[in-house]
Amino acid sequence: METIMYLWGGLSEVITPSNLFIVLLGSLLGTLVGVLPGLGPTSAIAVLLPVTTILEPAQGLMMMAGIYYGSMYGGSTTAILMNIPGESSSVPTTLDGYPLAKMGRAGSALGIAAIGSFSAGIIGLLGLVLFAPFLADQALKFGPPEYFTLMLIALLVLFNLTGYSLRKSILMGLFGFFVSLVGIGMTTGMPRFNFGFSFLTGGFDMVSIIIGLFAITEVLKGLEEDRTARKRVKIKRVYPTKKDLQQSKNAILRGSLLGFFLGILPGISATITSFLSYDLEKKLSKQPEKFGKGAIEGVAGPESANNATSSGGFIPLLSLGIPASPPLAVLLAALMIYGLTPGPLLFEQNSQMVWMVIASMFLGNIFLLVLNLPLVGLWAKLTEVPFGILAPIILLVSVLGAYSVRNSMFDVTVAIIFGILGYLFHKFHWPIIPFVLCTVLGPKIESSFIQSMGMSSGNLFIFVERPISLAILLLAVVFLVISIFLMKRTKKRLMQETGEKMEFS
Amino acid sequence: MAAHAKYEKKIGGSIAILIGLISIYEAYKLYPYSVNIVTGDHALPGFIGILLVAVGISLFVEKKGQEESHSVLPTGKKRFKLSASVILLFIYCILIEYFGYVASTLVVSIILIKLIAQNRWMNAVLIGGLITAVLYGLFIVILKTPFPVGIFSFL
Repeated sequence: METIMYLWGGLSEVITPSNLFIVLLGSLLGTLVGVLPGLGPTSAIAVLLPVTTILEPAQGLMMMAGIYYGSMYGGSTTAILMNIPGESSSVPTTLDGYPLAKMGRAGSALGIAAIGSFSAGIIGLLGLVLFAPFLADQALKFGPPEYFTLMLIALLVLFNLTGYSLRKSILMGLFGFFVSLVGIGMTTGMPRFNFGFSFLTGGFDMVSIIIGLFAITEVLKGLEEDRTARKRVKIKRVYPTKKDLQQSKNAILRGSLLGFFLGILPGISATITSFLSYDLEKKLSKQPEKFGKGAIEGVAGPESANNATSSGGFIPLLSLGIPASPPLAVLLAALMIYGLTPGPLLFEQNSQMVWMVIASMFLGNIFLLVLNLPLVGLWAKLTEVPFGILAPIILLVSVLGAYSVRNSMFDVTVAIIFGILGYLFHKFHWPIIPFVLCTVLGPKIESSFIQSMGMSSGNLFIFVERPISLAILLLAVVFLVISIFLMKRTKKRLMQETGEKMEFS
Repeated sequence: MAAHAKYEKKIGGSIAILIGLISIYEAYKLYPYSVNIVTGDHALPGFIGILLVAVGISLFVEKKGQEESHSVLPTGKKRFKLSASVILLFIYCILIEYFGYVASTLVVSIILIKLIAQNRWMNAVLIGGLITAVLYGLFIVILKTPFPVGIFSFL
């Protein structure tokens, strides 16, 4: 009941003209960037993050959340109209979305994807409202050793999820940690890894690294692939028919619930849940032979599962400060830029702001549903922007955006270097996700470790001697086994459908 | 170019070992300021250094063919486009310091459009001018980013 009151309070504060405009603008900007071929949610948030820094923290975060949802929705547009899955989690959407579009039912597919995303988003948010404060309350019992164990285990489970070799994932995670250590030491205040250069004393800016790895890398990949504007399928009818809705409603519900409940478990990514949902729908269908040739349930289920998992990711992010995916890692970095520390104390110290942002997410989802269906034609037109024009714009925005965070040319150089590295990592199948997560979580892991060692006078057994910490370790073993099984299955399915290895999202 | 893919793990492993050694050295340098062997600014660099060296060695000695990627780096025109774009970005960082936002962004955007979109010069100039103006509005007018003014301080 208390939670509902908080949410109501948040909602009443969001409903002001300026806040509503911010949520609307965020949702539209996110969709705009998301529909541009090749740019996924992570690049969208990274590129647009500097733009939000002029806003008040609450407004900035509301805009970021809108950008996140909008870019997720935008991603399904390119998957359906152009057969381009921005991320591996959108692959199942292309399997039936594109054939539907070729059959002249692109509008139906896009409409069902929007409705599925909306339902999943709302279910995910309800889960967030119910579970996040409870989890944060429980997490207040956690001390530094429990946090250290939790973050380390979460990372280990996530490493398994990249879809590439585990050894490469671990190595990339270690590289990420290494990068996060550059700067001033936590206990002594001594500079670390600065090699005598003053510009290294302040450490690396997270946003520059992410802009490089996601936005600049994406352009370099596009230049290599010689991306030309692909012909999209014409949209004849924007709204889905009654029959489409009838056929999809159960798939949407199943996908949303499956995506949410599996998604809140550590080690289950959006790629896994969207493939599971697709296979589940095919299994339950009376006409499984229609799948892959244009079954609307094949769009409804995976799109809902994908979005529900992504919404579910807000629970560990806000209550524990642990991001489950790269876009959420960028959001974590954004929270830190705004001076907030995600974790159990966030609900105590910044309760008003947190509930305002959560309330804005409900409105953002409604805006997306109401506006995006009539705007489908406009978004589809945007997919035709030639890459030759788009690429210079992305490169220039990346450079200027990286500069604007700390007004430092060093950050721009960092963004360009990480852009090149990101391209090489992609080329040789070295996963970027562990790198990003470890770079973001590195300082938090280090502080928890140092505090734990301070508490135990240097006894490393503290991590297994405390009951909660031990319980986390034991639970982690179970999740790791489940995630290894599901990851292998999804890897096989991804290979079957695309014929290539892809990093999981 | 295929050689790059063939030695990808050896190169990756070697870099990991090298970074690991740097990390261990940094831990060694910071150790005198520590409370004990596992408490202090040296602890995590030390652990990470050891792990980087260990995983790096295991990758270096791994037999060929185990999950080997078969990627090749681009050649010819594609390689030129890629390299030229990246070099242009580095040049942009220098130009903006000396010539300020307007002149450097205009020049770089025109060259990037000419290079990537292969439009005619006239189109490249028009689109480049438009991009420069829109980004000026966003970053300088709205976001108030203090870009270097360079020699054209009146712009």
